[in-house]
Amino acid sequence: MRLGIDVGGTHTDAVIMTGSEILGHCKALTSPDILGGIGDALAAVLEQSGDRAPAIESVMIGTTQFTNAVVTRRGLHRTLAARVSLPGGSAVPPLSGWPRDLADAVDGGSQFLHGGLEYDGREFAAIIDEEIAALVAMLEGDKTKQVAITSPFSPLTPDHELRVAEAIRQTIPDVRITCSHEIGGLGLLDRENATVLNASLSPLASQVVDALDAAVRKAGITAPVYLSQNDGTLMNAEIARKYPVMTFSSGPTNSMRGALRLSGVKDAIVVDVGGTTSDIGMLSDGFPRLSGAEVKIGGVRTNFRMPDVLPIGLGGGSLVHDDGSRIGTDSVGHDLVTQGLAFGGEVMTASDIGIAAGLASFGDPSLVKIEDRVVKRALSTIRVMLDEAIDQVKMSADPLPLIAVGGGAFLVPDDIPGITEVIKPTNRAVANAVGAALAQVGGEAELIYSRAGDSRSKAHERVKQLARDKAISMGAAEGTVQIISVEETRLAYMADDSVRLKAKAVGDLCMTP
Amino acid sequence: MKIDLDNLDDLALGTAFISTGGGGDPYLYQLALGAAISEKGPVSLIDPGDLDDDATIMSMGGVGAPMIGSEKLPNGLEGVYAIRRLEEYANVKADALIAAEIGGGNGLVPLITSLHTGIPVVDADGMGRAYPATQMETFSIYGISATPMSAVDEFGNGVVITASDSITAERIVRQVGLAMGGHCMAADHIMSGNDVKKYAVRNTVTLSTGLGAAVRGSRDLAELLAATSPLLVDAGYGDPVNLFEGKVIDVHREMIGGYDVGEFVIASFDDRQQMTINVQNEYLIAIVNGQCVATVPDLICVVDRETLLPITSERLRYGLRIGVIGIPAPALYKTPEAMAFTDPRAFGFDIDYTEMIVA
Repeated sequence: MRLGIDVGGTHTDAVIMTGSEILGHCKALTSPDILGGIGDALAAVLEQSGDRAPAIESVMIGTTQFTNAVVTRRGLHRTLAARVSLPGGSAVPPLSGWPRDLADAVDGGSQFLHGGLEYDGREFAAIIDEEIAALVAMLEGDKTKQVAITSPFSPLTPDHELRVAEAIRQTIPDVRITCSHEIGGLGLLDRENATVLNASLSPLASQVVDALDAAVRKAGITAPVYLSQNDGTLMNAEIARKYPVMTFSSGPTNSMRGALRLSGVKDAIVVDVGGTTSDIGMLSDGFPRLSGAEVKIGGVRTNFRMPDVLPIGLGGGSLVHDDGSRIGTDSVGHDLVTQGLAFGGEVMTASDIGIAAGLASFGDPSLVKIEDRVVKRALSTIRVMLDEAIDQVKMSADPLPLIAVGGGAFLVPDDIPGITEVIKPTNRAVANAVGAALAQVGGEAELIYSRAGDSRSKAHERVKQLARDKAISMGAAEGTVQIISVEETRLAYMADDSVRLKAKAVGDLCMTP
Repeated sequence: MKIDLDNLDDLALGTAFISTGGGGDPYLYQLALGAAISEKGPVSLIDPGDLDDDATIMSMGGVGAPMIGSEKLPNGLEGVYAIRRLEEYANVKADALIAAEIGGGNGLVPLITSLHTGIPVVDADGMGRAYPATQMETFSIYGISATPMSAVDEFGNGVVITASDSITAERIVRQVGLAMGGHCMAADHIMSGNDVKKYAVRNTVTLSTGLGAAVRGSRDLAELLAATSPLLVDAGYGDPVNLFEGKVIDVHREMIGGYDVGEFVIASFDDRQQMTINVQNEYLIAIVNGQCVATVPDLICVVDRETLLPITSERLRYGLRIGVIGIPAPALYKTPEAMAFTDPRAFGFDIDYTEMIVA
């Protein structure tokens, strides 16, 4: 049995599943300390499923805590950014282009060292041992710091980053180090940004993972804890301590993967209607389509592969304005249950419109007295908002099915232009917890090869094997690992026909016996 | 005119706008220039008209794959090494620097070099946009030898290329770039102040700064056209026109011979018309219902219809709502000599140049 938990801004959802069957599910309000909400959700869902805590084999948690820490600039620690790239790179120092307040919270100095490799793995510049010794001496004087190490082309050949990290660890074993090749792909500055954020979050990561673990143990569960990552796959608690940035944006991913699991449809538009916003994304062969543009976290450019999700200001708690001709972007959020008309409050919300139109029934429908013309106009406003956003998210003009999930899914109309069928699966309200519970384990690898020199099929085999190995090292069961994508990109302006290969593998989580 | 921290972001945005989809994202050079300005102060620009006729000017820019440039960040001295190497070889002193192409990151390169050398930058360039090759620079087109051309790396390692013509120089410098890890900095086209007055696309640094401010200050496409029109006409371009508005409904691209080649289709919002745009790094040809409405050397610029931000060709994808703006090229590109290197046939299309047609 698996337990899935999704900690969102408004609600904390939990489900208990065996195979694809849901044994219990519940929604609790997210508490300011996060743990209270998780405790409530756990207690409720365990009770529903007949208190089978001992039978739970694994716990999967999706959480927004690390994203929130960056956005609110709280819980971040000072980080020394070491860049191994001289004589290159010094014109664009670490933290270039960061918002001032975030840089102030994170900046623990920066240090340039000689080194770095070329795209084909040959050495660009030699490492100078005295420079590493000076860096180590500097760190010894200030042991509170975290370190982020970045070097050109390290995602292809990490040697120089590893050498610097190893030298630091030998003298100062307990320093927290993040190397950029563990964090992201090509694009040095964006990768370094993510690496520095990761290092600065690493003390918080230890605290959060310990606390999540304690909350789960308190509920009598002894199973291992996993966290969901931005690509919809899982990492174990030990890895989560080291790579907190990998949890960024896991919420939308989990809801899309949950929509897949609940509906069985692999290619579809997914609309997740929450309390304040709707997230619209696309499932392509069962996985969220990823964003091609750079992704900003807390105002900083990173090169994470994030799901390409379009948020719009339409949720169950969105306020209805101007007799229904305008909705949101303001929302009562989780105060819907006290402020909405159906709950005896004074505020007309999108949920009240749904109740008045007979699309949903909760609260006390007799309290919802709205003129017909307002209901009609509001429904048409909702339809226009969704139609436009859905059309923007679609990849091609071909019609597709749509899966509506989230607590406010009833607001999605049943006929939408360019959509073959609107699917509203049972248990749609807890789709993101289901997505977390059924998540797999993945691994990515990339390399560059020259079409002039290397064999294409050998290069493909090599990158696939690297991705498989990575998935297994992340906890995938060996026999279940599959390659889900190999991307081939020829590099513009490279006369020797260099090609970049990127492979991704996923497999089922290896359950402990 | 000076470039300082107050107008740097506008300049970078303007170079992206006028790049016609190619030239690479100026973001990294924008950060590098910002850091250099913070340390050393603003960059002075010289109006081409104020150059001495016999002054010595060199053009410069980076050569290589944008992906390599995103990994091997500059140290700011690459341009200094390139200029010094060329000065040494030709036994001259550069009195001013000029950008080989204003479009994209290369438009900012001479400004960084200027802060490190004290050599001023001419408010002009050799393309007035972005193009993929040296032989498409006005300087080469009008008979100024591209060589001797220096090409250097971050260490100051370098070569000086001599070649019979600019196409040969281009082929050699690409190979030199590969030997330097996929990217190098080149200085070339040693010319006189008088040459710059005659052959450079004038005031394009100032123009880009104005274009960036116009993008930021406009609320819709009509406002953007109105705001950019006087700036472009003043700089010798034609009046910008709205060629098309709509949604991208098909994108097809592949890499051929080191270039990003493809086409994409846009449908008008009333679904009654479609525009197809051919791409080779830059936007080259726009066709509506089988009729060519704009071709190189005229400029085809694509912006997001909501934010008005320029969209580079590698960022184009299905569903984007875009505006396509046509800008007639400056007179320097409308001559038979220039057409021979920059019309559709120079890019391998079986299409003649046509004057822009506005629906």
